[in-house]
Amino acid sequence: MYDAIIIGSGPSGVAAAYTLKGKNILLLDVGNLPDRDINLCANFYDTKKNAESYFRGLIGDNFESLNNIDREYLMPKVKAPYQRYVVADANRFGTIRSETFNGFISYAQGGLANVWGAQLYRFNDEDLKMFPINASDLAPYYDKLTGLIGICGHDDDLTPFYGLAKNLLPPLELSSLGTDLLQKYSRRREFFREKGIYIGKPRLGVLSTDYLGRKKCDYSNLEFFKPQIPYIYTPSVTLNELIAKNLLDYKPKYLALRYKEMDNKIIVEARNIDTSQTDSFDAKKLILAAGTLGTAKIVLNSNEDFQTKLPMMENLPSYIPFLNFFKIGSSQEKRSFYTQLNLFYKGEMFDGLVMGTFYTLSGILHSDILFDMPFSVRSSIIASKYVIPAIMVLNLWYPAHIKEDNYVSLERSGDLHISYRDRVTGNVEKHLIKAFRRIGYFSLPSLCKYPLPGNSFHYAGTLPMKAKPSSRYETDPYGRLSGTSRIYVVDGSCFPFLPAKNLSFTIMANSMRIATHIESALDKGF
Amino acid sequence: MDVEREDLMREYLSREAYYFHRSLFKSEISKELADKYIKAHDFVKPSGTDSQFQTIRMVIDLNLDAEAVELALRKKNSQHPLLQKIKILTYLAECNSQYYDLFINEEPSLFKAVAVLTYHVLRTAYKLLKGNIVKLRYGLV
Ligand SMILES: Cc1cc2nc3c(=O)[nH]c(=O)nc-3n(C[C@H](O)[C@H](O)[C@H](O)COP(=O)(O)OP(=O)(O)OC[C@H]3O[C@@H](n4cnc5c(N)ncnc54)[C@H](O)[C@@H]3O)c2cc1C
Repeated sequence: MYDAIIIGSGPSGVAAAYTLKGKNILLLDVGNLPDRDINLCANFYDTKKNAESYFRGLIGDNFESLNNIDREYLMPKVKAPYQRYVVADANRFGTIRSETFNGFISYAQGGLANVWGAQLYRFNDEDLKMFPINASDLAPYYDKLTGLIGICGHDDDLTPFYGLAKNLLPPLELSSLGTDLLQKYSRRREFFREKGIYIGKPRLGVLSTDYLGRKKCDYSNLEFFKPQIPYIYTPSVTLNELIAKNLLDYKPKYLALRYKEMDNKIIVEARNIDTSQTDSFDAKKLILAAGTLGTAKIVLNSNEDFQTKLPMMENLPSYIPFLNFFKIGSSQEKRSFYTQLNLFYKGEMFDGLVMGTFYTLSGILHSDILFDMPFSVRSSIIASKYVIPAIMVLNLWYPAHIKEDNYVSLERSGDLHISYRDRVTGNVEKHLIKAFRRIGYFSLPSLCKYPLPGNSFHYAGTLPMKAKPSSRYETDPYGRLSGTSRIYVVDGSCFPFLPAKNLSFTIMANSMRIATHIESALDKGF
Repeated sequence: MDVEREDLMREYLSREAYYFHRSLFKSEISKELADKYIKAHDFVKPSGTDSQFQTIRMVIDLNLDAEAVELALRKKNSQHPLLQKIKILTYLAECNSQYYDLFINEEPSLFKAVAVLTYHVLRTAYKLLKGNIVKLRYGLV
């Protein structure tokens, strides 16, 4: 019998596995992997210059890059041919049925984090005010993770939101647009403060210097097309180390179906996806880390519950393109990293903190955005050549509360049904557009994009953590599912509130905290 | 029979590729790119009503300005199969090294860029007007 079974190898599962190394741990995972035969040049623009040799990587054998022409929208990073494995099989084991939500379960080794932006932020007491824990409970695990991952960033106007930049690597280099925006903001800091706007550098799990045997960022602009780039931390980095050191029994190709709690153990039934045979595994503890939607599915299926509507939260996203007129006609920067700056908005336009990230459009195909431009097609192609180097896109995220209208339920067919009613009003966007005009960054409300909920990929709240859980679909402060004694939830499911800050660093720290609690329970023979 | 229909389909898609390419890129498409355009249709399935596909046929048969027609139709229907087909060609062209200079700017010049953009604003206005006239005249949907 295993000490614990972990389901899922995303950030939450790997953080738990890392904490419990030394115990007898089984990690069950579907674990899809990227193509082994990655063929791309050392730089995105060199790749495009020699595009015929790289057709598989840019367009794909199955024309994956053309996905958004006739199918449900996928972000550029997810639709790229070599990255597609991250959402492959998303519909194989049951689909997500929804008119109001466009989301995915990842069955990849490392989960959704294979394509994440690696923005890693600590939640402070304000962010955690609806949690039954506080920032000091998470602090030691954030510190440990900072050492493990290698996070870059520094102290600036955003430090009050992030906390001090302890043990961080230096920030990444900014592109010329990022530098320009930061300089103009710094000159007009007081003006922006009055408007409730704060800007600074992001904190990223991306190496700005060589670190623990991994090479630093080479600014190749390949992040949208190349999977598992070593300078971007992904859970697979740690998972592969644990496997190599024999600190974990990793069983990929297993789809966990349900669990059953007995007096002295927990039994997990999982289907081998190659043979379709169902096997049982038993352990003293079960750690659910299949991602917010994956875990909800396993819990509801185990209870054969096709009625209950579990709450669901996501950071509603919006996009504002900003054009800097003075940068029109600049040559395309070929050496850059797409994530530039972060923004916080705290003011009258929204009740709560809104967070945003400025991205350049380097490293993506122009065709992904050409048709949003107000020109005829040929004119768009030619205009994009001169305009794209002058555009930054601000991606905003909104916080989410648990609300009755936003829920997920399981159907007998195995499909998840999601209803998500919240929408962005556009007021903050208008406010920001007006403010940025002052420093030469122009946009229009009509150019803003409001993708369907689900597109932030920041999902949480299905099994919320409470000081005193009252229903069987709530968890206690140690992530233990109410009414059970051996089942723990360590992914975003157990968040009772979702601040606008990217959630995964907190998912990982919380998972480590819960795993530490499980470890001491195991040591005591429970 | 099926083989015959497939050949016909290929021939038709090939005509589309040549026609749209001339309209957008003002030159003859290479055989290689045309073949990719045809193959892309095995994976990407532009959808629309019969009359929308009829519009595409009319554009090609009557030698109409595809770019202008697409622009005029786009406002009402951003998913028109004509646009979907043009998108296929644009993606394929962008990922072909011959078109690199058309998409990527390597020589900075604010003056040139402003002149080019001004021209294309005016050109777009002209195309929109032309597209609307053609649309009305031929009853395109
Ligand atoms: C494009 C993109 C950008 C993002 N950027 C950021 C960012 O910058 N910062 C940030 O904080 N977050 C970001 N995120 C979100 C982040 O990736 C997720 O919050 C995070 O991956 C969630 O981790 P998880 O461990 O809960 O689940 P997942 O990453 O979803 O992992 C789920 C794991 O469970 C396994 N699994 C699922 N179901 C089963 C089953 N039934 N049986 C066996 N195994 C199963 C899967 O194989 C997978 O290994 C981004 C996401 C995307 C897609």
